[in-house]
Amino acid sequence: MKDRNIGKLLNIASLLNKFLFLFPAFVAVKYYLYETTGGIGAILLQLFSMFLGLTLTTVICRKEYYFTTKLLSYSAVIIPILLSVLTFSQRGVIWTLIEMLASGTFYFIGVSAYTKSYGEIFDSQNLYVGSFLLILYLIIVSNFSVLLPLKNMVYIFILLFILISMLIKSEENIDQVFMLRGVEIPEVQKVIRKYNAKAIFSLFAGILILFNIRYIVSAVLKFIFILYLRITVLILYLMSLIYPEGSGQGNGAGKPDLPYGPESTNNFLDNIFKFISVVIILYLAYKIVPKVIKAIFKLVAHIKAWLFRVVKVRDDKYDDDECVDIVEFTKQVEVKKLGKKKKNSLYSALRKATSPAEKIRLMYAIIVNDVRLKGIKIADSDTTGQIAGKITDSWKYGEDIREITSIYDSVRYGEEIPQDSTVKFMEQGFKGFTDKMGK
Amino acid sequence: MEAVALLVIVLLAVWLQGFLSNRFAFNKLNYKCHFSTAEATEGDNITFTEILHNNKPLPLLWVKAEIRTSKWLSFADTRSFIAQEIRHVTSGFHLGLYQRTTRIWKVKCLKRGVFNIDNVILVTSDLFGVHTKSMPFPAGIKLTVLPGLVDLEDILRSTRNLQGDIIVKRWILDDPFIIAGAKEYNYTEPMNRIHWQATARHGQLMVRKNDFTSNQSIRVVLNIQTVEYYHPYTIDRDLIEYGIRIAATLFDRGLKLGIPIGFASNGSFSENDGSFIYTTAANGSIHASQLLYTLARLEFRINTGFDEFFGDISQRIEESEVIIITSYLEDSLNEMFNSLLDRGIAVKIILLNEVYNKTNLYDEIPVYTVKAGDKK
Repeated sequence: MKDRNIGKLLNIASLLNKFLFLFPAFVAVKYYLYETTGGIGAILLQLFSMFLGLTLTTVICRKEYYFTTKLLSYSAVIIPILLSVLTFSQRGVIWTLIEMLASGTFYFIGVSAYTKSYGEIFDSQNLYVGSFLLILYLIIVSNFSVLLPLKNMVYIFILLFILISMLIKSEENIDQVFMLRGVEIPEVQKVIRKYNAKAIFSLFAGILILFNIRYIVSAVLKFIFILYLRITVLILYLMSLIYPEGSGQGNGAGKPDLPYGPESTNNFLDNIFKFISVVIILYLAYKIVPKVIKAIFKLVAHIKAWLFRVVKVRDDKYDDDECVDIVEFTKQVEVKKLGKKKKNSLYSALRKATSPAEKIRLMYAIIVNDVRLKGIKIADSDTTGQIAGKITDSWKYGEDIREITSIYDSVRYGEEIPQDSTVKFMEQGFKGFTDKMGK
Repeated sequence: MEAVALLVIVLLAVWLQGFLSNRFAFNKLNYKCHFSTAEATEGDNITFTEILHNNKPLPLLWVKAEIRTSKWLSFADTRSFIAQEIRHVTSGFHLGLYQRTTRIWKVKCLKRGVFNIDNVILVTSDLFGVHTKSMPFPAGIKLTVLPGLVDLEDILRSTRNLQGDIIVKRWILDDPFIIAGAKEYNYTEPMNRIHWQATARHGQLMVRKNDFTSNQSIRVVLNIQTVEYYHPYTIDRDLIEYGIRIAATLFDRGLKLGIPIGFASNGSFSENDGSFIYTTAANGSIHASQLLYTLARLEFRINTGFDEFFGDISQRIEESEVIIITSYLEDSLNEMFNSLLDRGIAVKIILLNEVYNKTNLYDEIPVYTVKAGDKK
């Protein structure tokens, strides 16, 4: 059994999609004749007509769907037509006729949706016809200067059409898949539908970004340029404070007399000041830039972690009458990325290492890093014994770590110079451990 | 131009998500499932656990696990349908990146049997169903549901005695070699029976308590044919299911009393076509559980008519008592039962049906019928 509320929502979405590709035709005619769209009132009236058709049919045919009840439902088209006449009669006969035609059309669309599922209301044929019509509208409004003001509206309708079509087709796909041999018994879990809808919205956001990439890039560049200008002005302002008005040759207009301005004639002082300024700027850049880069990386890591939290469905326990779901997130992404970087540098150091003690210390460091990547939380303050305990407790292959730890301890804290055999033994243990870790 | 660009971007986005799904959906996707126990009894509540791990940085919008199992394992009622003897369960998952979902289904074992889940088919697709992929994941799990027990005293009614008979195992004298425990000395027992260790522990005189033994042994014969004429399959299966529960109860009694029990039936196992079942009589918990396992595997396929089957095995019966569980009696069968009695073997008949013919059956052979209303 499908969830009735979801079914209703999808029916409404399907009707809305039909509206999106039919309504601009009426608007275009009105705009061509009267140079006005009719505003939000016209949209609301036609939407009302469509949903009135569905609601009235549902009420009339609630018990029996006979010829008489069907006829009664269709006859009630008089209501939206009268409403159009009452609302738009003062705008002229042709306008009223267009509104009457639109109301009647949308009312019948609403009536015909009564017995249909959302997939039938907006089927593949509708998708093709709708896509074709919307592209046609776009071409027409782009090429006829009279209709050019409608371009934005058509774009909005197209984007909404894309979004709703994707949602409907995706939900339809899920419903088909979760039907077994034509028997529609298994209910699609709400969470799957929600997750799917989330994915559709993300895909749509991606499409929007790609479609507007030119504007986005130019906006970002503009922002960077403005930021650069502001910073420059700020620096100039700060310099004007250091080098106050009147101390130089001055331009006599009360503006800061900048040491490196074109008006400056004191070449010696200018050069010294320029040199000092460059040194200060370079020093500040040396100090600040790495911090800024670090901050940017941190920000990116935070955004990434946030995105992971968004795509993560839920990290909890879900219980119903039939089953219990336990959902776990098995990888800490932020840790992994940072740790991987460290891992690469450790491996490179291990390759270069010549001293046996250094080799052992690096191998141990790689193991600890790998274990962190595996999701085992190891604090900087943990002793080697505590680390070994954590590994053996939370990982089935962890028993090898005891021997590795004792070798490391003897080298690190006992300051023992390891024999070749010890290094060999450690290498074997390290290889076995990292192999198992990769599984 | 903008329209073309929009169209291209939409098509590109749809293609890209389809490509990613098609190419990587089953990469690093692990599926495991198991029952909470390998052996259960009719009516038990157990669990069935599915573990699905998406160990890659690509979310899976949905994954459908199609499980085919017996309809006698009741679970996922709203997410399954039954076609003939098979329950088709649809287990829907949605997996984020690096996410593991453990789903624990509550299962009720409705009937005895050996139930296998060989494969579970996982299905997934892209957002719009353009690329739907499926892959079988080997499950290889087996659940044995042993038959449930019934209260024999409550359900059996003797055709001679309305109180019913109870299987007891007592002899006149106890067996001095079998020690059941220790009891207080009541000044009638001989001194050599005093248990000195127990006396020391309790601070009063204790004597060894001996058990009763005999060379009694029982063979339970189950006829899975419910009508007089031969048909390759059991017609009234519920009746035989009840007979199986009675047989299981007899095995359980035998285990508790330490009586060696053997089993014979004209039924068969699915993998053992063309033969019937005949086990040797023995006692002990291992033997009892083997007998219960035999009952769990029993199929409703009849290879030999019961009269022919019983004619074959009656010469091999060496036990002191035979309990026959059958749905009907007829003259030829009665003759065979009489001949067993003539050989000094006690015969008892548990009749699953209330309509029977015992015209030529010896009066010494007790017949028990199952009370109406208890058969379901």
